Amino acid sequence: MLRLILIGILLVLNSFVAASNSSAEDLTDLSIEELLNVEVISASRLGQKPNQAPSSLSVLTASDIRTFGWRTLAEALNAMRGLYTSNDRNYSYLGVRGIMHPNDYNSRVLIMIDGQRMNENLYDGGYIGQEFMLDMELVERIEFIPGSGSSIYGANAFFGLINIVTKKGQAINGAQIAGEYGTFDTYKGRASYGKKFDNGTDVLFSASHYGSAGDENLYFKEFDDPATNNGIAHDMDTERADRIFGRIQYEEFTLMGGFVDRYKRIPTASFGTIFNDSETYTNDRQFFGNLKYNKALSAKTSLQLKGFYQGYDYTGRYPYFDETRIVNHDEASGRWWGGEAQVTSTVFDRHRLILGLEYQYDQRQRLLNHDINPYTFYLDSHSNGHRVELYAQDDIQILDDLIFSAGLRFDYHHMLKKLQLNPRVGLIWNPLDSTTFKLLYSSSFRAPNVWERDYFSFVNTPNPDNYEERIKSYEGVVEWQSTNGLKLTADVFYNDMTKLLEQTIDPGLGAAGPFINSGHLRAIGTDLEIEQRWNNGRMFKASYTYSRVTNEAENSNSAQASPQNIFKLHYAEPLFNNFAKLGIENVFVDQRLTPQNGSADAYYQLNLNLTSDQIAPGLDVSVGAYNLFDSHYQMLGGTGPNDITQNILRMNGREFRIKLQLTFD
Amino acid sequence: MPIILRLLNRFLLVLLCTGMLAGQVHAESGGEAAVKTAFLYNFLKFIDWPDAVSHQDAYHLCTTNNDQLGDSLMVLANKSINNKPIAIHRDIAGKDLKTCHMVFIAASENAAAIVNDLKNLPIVTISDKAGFIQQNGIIGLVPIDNRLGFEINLDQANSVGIHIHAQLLKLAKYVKSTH
Repeated sequence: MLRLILIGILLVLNSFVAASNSSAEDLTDLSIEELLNVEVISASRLGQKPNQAPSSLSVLTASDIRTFGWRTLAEALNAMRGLYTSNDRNYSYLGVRGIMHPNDYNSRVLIMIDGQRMNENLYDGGYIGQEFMLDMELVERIEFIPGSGSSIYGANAFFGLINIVTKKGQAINGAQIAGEYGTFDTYKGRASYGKKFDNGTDVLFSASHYGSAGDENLYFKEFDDPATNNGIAHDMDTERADRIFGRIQYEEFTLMGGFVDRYKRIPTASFGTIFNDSETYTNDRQFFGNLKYNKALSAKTSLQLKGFYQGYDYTGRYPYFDETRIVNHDEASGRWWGGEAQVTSTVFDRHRLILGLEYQYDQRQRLLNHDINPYTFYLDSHSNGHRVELYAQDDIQILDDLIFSAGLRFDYHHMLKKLQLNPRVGLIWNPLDSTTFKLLYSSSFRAPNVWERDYFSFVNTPNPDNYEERIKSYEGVVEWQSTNGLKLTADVFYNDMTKLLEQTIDPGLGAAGPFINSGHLRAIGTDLEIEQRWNNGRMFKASYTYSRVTNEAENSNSAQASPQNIFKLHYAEPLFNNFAKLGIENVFVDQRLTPQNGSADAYYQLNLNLTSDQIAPGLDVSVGAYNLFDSHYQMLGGTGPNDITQNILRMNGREFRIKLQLTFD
Repeated sequence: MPIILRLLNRFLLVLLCTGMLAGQVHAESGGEAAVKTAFLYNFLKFIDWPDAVSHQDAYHLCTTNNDQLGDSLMVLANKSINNKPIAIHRDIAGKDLKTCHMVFIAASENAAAIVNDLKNLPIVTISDKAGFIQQNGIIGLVPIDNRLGFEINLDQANSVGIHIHAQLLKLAKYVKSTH
């Protein structure tokens, strides 16, 4: 069927004689008044008008982040259409359109900073909580594309991709210090400096420290026994994070780097550890550095070259009891580097062509596990290898109001025996200035990571024979925009995911054994969104996502961790003649099936945030109340004692935060 | 959960009824190059050149090296204003800018030197360099939060016989004028 459509489109294509029509972004229809209100966005890799892009893009801006007071990337993503998050009091997890795969550190979502992949090379983890690289105050935009991304993006864009665009130094314009304090003895300090100099050099440097004592006493009924402190984990939710980020942009060159070091105590006694033992923790450190060169080769062709070096180190300490208390040390260390070349050109009339080549060398992929005292060795596995990705995409203006987008992506991955070839096609029809229809199809893959391939423990078995997961995504989108700024989006989607890597679940024990390609999920659903932004700063946005996920491998009508309904409503209102601004966030997430065949209750969360930058020059104050109704809403626990004993985990109740930020010229 | 749908429905209905969605201009977003290009296009509409140079058959819009306007600028190649096409000349060296109506000077260039060469000619100089109108430039593009605004040096424009419409002056963030 798809082939027929393709042939048809190609025939239509051939019958058109090209006439000059550049597909560059054109805002010349706007009046000066309108232009003064256009938000200038950094050229991202997406680099085209959203309504012409072969994807369904949603965006949050720095002003949204400020208005709603999101403290982590996870909280911001939880505000976006079709996304939801979970947390097991160790890491944060992201669900996309009804799919959140347990046993996954967001390896199926591509997370990027300014187009640079952040998923590391051990668990393919993409981190979104305090373990994420950036302070939210450094984020200019968050872009989300659901489905298998686009042919331009790499292999982790399986359920979707997230690109974080960083602020320019110019946006900070001076030296900035910020301090915040909140519930559970949570504090954060940050110092930043940003400036654009007369010679065009833009610099941004920032460093921050975060600390939280966490809830002093967390109760877990599964451990309610005098031998395990009656189920109370005391001072076990402590978290710390340090971050550094810097960027220098001079003419066509951009040099950027970041580092995050995050410590989290684990209160859930996961992986069979001793309950309420304060030495149970994980420490995640990640860094990246890259140098980009952007050059307009001619008026119609631009070139981007990039080189990068990245690393990730994790250590975990897991005290357990085997006649005596023994501390297990789990470690992973990765280093990878590579480069990319991308050419974008409109030299051929009515074509916007993107060609790219990406190379990554996984220099180190080490997994280590041993007991400390007495020393018992379990695992020291090493891997390395090459990844080569070649992609091409052509957005062809078939008619003035019709674009056909065709992309092809070719991947060599050292974890896979076979080469991967994945197409992407899209048809974008703009019959009216206000209205866009999109039909999109793409396929993608995800290679097993070294953890899924090589990890060995009491309950994990390596599997040298596992291979790539596959997804096919189909999507239909309608976008309508009125002249006064009302925006309506409706989406229908169908995702078919096969050969998903799963572990066997032993009833009463949990996930065990090797990762084998046995999973098969199908998701069908719809996304609806209405958004209106006013010049005075008022904003209204509501979205609803319905998804029905079926577990085809188990002939089951429901899938784990999948809420059937998600509803979000965001409203911001300027107060007292723009003296302050109030942001109201409402999130409803439906009940979710847990891995132990129970259910986590549906929950509704109300967050309020009040900001003002009018109290004194350079001072920005924000006061937030999170989870105002004090509901200890339920997130998923684990599969059993092999990972997390608890079926569900209750989250923190109401929290407050006050933040002061001072900027000097 | 149809309740959610019903709630959503009702909400939308209420919104539409109260007329909350009517009226104002909204804020959209665009790439920096596209926004700058659209400003250049609009400036052409609201500026009159002295008779001596206004008889030419096209508006000559020039840019220096490193204009960073990419493909965006080329959308103007197909446009005209009052039936007069726009001729685009890019990467033009300082000495060859004297036949242009409008010159966009990249922030990376030595704006002061270029303006100095052109300051007695009826040429609208535009740049996104900080402090541009203090260096005798005519229009400076300035960032205001994450939007773009502009400043006008009316004294300099008047001194070379360039007439800037009141409409444009009204929207400028700052107008340098001794009157």
